[in-house]
Amino acid sequence: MMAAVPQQSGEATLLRAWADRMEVEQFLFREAELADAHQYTDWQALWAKELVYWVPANADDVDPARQISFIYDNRARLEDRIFRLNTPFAHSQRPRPRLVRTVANIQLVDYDSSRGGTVTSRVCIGETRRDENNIWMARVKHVLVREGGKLLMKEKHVFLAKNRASIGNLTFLL
Amino acid sequence: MNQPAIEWIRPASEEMISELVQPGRVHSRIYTDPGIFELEMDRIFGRTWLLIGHESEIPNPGDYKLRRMGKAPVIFVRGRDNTVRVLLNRCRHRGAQICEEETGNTRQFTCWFHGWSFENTGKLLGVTQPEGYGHALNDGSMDLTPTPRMDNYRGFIFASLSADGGSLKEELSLATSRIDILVDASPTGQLMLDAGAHKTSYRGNWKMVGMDGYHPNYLHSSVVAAWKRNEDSGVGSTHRDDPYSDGSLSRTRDLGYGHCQLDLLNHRLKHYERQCEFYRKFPGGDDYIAAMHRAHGDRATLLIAAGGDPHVGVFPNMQIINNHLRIINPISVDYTELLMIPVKIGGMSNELNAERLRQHESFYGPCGAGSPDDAEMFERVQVGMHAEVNPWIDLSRGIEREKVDTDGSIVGQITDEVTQRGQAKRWAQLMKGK
Repeated sequence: MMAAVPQQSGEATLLRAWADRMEVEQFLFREAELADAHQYTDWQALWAKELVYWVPANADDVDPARQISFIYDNRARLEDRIFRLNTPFAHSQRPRPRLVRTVANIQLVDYDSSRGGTVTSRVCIGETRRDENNIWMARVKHVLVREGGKLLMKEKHVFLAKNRASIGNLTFLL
Repeated sequence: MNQPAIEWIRPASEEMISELVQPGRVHSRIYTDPGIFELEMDRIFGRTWLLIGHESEIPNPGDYKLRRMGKAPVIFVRGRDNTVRVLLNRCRHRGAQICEEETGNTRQFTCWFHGWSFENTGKLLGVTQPEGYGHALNDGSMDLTPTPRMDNYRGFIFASLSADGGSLKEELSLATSRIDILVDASPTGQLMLDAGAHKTSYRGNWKMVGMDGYHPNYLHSSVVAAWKRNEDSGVGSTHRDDPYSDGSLSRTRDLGYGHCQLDLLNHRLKHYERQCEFYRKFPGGDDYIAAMHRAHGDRATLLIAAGGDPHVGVFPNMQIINNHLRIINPISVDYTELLMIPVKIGGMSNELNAERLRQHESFYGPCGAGSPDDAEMFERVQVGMHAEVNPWIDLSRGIEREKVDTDGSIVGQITDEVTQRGQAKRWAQLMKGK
């Protein structure tokens, strides 16, 4: 996949591409901040009405219609997830882990600022809970849409590096 | 009871085990002591029938999965002769594990230490520089070692590391009719365990994965609250009208041999019509219901209501819960891995089976709403149990109201600790070497 490259040279085009990139980066950074801070409801507000939040299990290319995923949420399932996390009784998040994630290698793929498009990135999430530390690494694909002037997530696919080995508790927002 | 483990468990006398497992209570050392764990690996995991998997996990010749029997790594493989085998995963030469990939398809297993190779049937294929041995090794004497016993119950493959003991049918005992609840949820008797698996872990003892009808309304109150918003969400459709209240028709059962069950069948039977409505929301729902009635006659209503979920634990390493088959792998006294393998049902449409996967993901696996909270509690118990001033774990709930049912199972209210007592009884029996 290639990053969007200005079709013609010239300062205006470069500025346009730069502004698009800035807007997307700021969006992804904001999403990361909210997820790290366990701001579940604010994070949910970054989603479009119709959505797919997908974290495949065992391999990156599984077919969710036939194979198991860690997460394959539509809006209803995502709302259940957020509802539960917002109760005081999501014990696997009590105490909540401290999370620090870095989003990098951001590439705008087939992206248009008026419609949105596909953005790929890498994420590295450091998690510390009680006396345990975990590092979660993933390739990420966002499908962003512009609705009412705002960028929103229509799809987010998180391809965990650790998708087959045994995993204990992965109940925070990826 | 405060001596180092090795001193007080080494005799492993009947008296010692009897002291640890008493009516209505067990000593926390059975969950925390490394010496006890070693003994379990020998006397329980080294002797009983263990679930290996389901034959549909390896449908084609050469298909294999790596599994464990206690500490022993094994290969669950379908050979080129289409025969399913359970082979110990160690080279007959110097003992290296010969298969590393957890799942795959292969014609042969090669040990890359010295280049010995074996067919997917276990037969020795070749030895490098064979003249060094002076005689042929390919006379069957150096083939991969199969487990001393292997048997099949309706597609579920079990094996034992001991050549002696009761037959599988005998030792499954009343659990067979519970496994039937799942197999017969298919009008054709066909199950497909081909959707992959969730492999999860917790830092706690393997015996904590039990069958507990007391905890759902408390530990899982966050999920119960979500079901109240939409009773079809997640696995809510199989938990209508609170099956975990003592006023319900749900029961706990000790099926003997350590097998135990949260028997939700009569409770779910009340919701047969709602369950049919739920199935009809998906393409193929009507066809499935009709096919079930054709295949199972009068029994179809109960089977449809059950949704393929006997909620049964088969001691020591198997459970069938909701939409998945679970394998319990003890790694050490305080670390356990769980393999959760979703089951698709032959005769259900792709859409219905996809919904079964979504239901499973909603509650189980590392990102689910249920099992990570269970694991969290197991870890808290594992820590708490080291406070040994009063070392007893209480399992007495319902001990005064349990009864023997007509089928011989011990039955109690759904919140009663009948199931835990049944497991403890079998545990003690096996640990005494009986």
